[in-house]
Amino acid sequence: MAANAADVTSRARSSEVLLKVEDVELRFGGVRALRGVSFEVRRGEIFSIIGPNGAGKSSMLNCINGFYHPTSGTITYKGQPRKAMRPYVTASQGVARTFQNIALFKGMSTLDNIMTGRHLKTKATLLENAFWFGRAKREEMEHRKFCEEIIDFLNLQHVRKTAVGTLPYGLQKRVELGRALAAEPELLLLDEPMAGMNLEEKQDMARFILDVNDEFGMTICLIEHDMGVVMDLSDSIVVLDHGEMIGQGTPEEVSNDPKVIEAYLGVQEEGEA
Amino acid sequence: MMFFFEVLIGGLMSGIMYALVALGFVLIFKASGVFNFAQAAMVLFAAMFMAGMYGDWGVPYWLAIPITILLMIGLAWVIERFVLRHLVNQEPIIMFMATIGIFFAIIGFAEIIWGSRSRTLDVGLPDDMLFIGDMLFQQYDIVTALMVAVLVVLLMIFAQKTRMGRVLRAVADDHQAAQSVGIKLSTVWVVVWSVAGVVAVVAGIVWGGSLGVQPVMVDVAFKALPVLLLGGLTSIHGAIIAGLIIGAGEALAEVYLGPIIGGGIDNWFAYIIAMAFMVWRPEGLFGEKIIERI
Repeated sequence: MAANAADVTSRARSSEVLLKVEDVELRFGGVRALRGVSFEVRRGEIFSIIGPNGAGKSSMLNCINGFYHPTSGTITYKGQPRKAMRPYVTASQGVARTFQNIALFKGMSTLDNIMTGRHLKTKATLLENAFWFGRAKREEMEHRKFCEEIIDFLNLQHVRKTAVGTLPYGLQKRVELGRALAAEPELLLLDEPMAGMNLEEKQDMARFILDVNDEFGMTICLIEHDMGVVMDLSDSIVVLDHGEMIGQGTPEEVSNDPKVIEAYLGVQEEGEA
Repeated sequence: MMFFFEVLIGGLMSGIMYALVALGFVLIFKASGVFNFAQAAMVLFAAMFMAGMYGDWGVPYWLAIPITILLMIGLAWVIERFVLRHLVNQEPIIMFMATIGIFFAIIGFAEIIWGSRSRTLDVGLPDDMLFIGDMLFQQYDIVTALMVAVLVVLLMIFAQKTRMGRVLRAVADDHQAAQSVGIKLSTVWVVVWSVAGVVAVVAGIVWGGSLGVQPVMVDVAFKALPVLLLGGLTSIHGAIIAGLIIGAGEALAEVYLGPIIGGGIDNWFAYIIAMAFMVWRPEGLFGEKIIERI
């Protein structure tokens, strides 16, 4: 399949489809959280899913990640359709994520949290680890070095050794991003990376997201409330409302779509006026 | 004074035995944030199989012990497959309730096979008197202490010196996040419950050897609770130190306070010690501080 093409040059938003969601429906009993959702995420782009509260954005991300399994429809990742995928399998295929309400290991330091992101990159066996010989020691050093680079990249040096439970919210979000980056994912899922942040923190986060995309060519799929941020960041956008797709396209197309304006932007503009 | 030291050492030795049960609790708590009520039942379960296989089927101990270890690994797999797997991302209290269910289920299972009569379990640990200087020791106690020391060193290597330690803490902290970085919960749980099962086998040998194997053993195994609270739920060395404190404390209390306030102190004194310490340090002596930004 085209998905295996090895000739994808460094970053340029290629035409290769990394993730394809087709006609996905998700039901919880009588509630239909998602209905007929279809979209494509291309390698190297920043893709956003937006929509008002309860639109099904997080449900969509959880389907991609394997926490939920679509009732019907298919999700194709790197050319392979997948059904009932377990989260750790998804992770091993190069999908990392952050969570809306921050799921960090609170008692551990920033460094240790980011180190857990290297879990799948560790090859040494339990026995080697136990006696600290062979690959175990060398690997630990390499991972440590990699994680220190992430810490530098995200400006977290001053809290390296701090237990993350004690950090302010904005920094915790950043540590969570660091943990996801440590896995060197091909697809990075961000669930409301800027929720609850002040303006400055939002700008920082936006810059990190752009840098990650730029420097590592990482494909990013994010969910966001903040329309302004999304419009500036994204290459393409899909808009959900009540579990249905009501718009799709580039930021310009979406912000000019009357249906989107009515369902989402319109409401917000009224509120602001 | 000599008498004081003899009482003290006797107390320390029984403390080591409490610690042995507490270790099993600590391991599982570290790995899942779950207080495994069933640990005491696992000790009884292992002891009943070893004593039963020897007594009823004539299986020699050198064979019965490895078989029991395999059985505990099988038990860990069954518990993960049929109970824990379905409770991922649930509140700790739900998992705690499930372990109470496991507690009764595995005792029931063992009793169906072996009945509830008491048995002896003597795997041939040396059991003579031993004088060092003027002091009287039991060889059994010394052998036990050595076994526990080896076990503790191995467990500490497992939990602290290996990558496993970080994985265990991650799983205990947040199931969802652990899965998202690629940790396979089912494997971690089977491994940890198996290790706790092996600890239960050792505890079963030691306890069964000194008390005999009978259902009431579970009550004594619950002496591990104050040890656990005192040492901190997540600390392996904490369990040992707390075991020593509680063992020594209750033995001395029995001898020196007993005549004043009446006997039977050792039934409740351990809890008093644990509570007194907890007022001062709620997370136990070596437990992880609970970190929460408010």
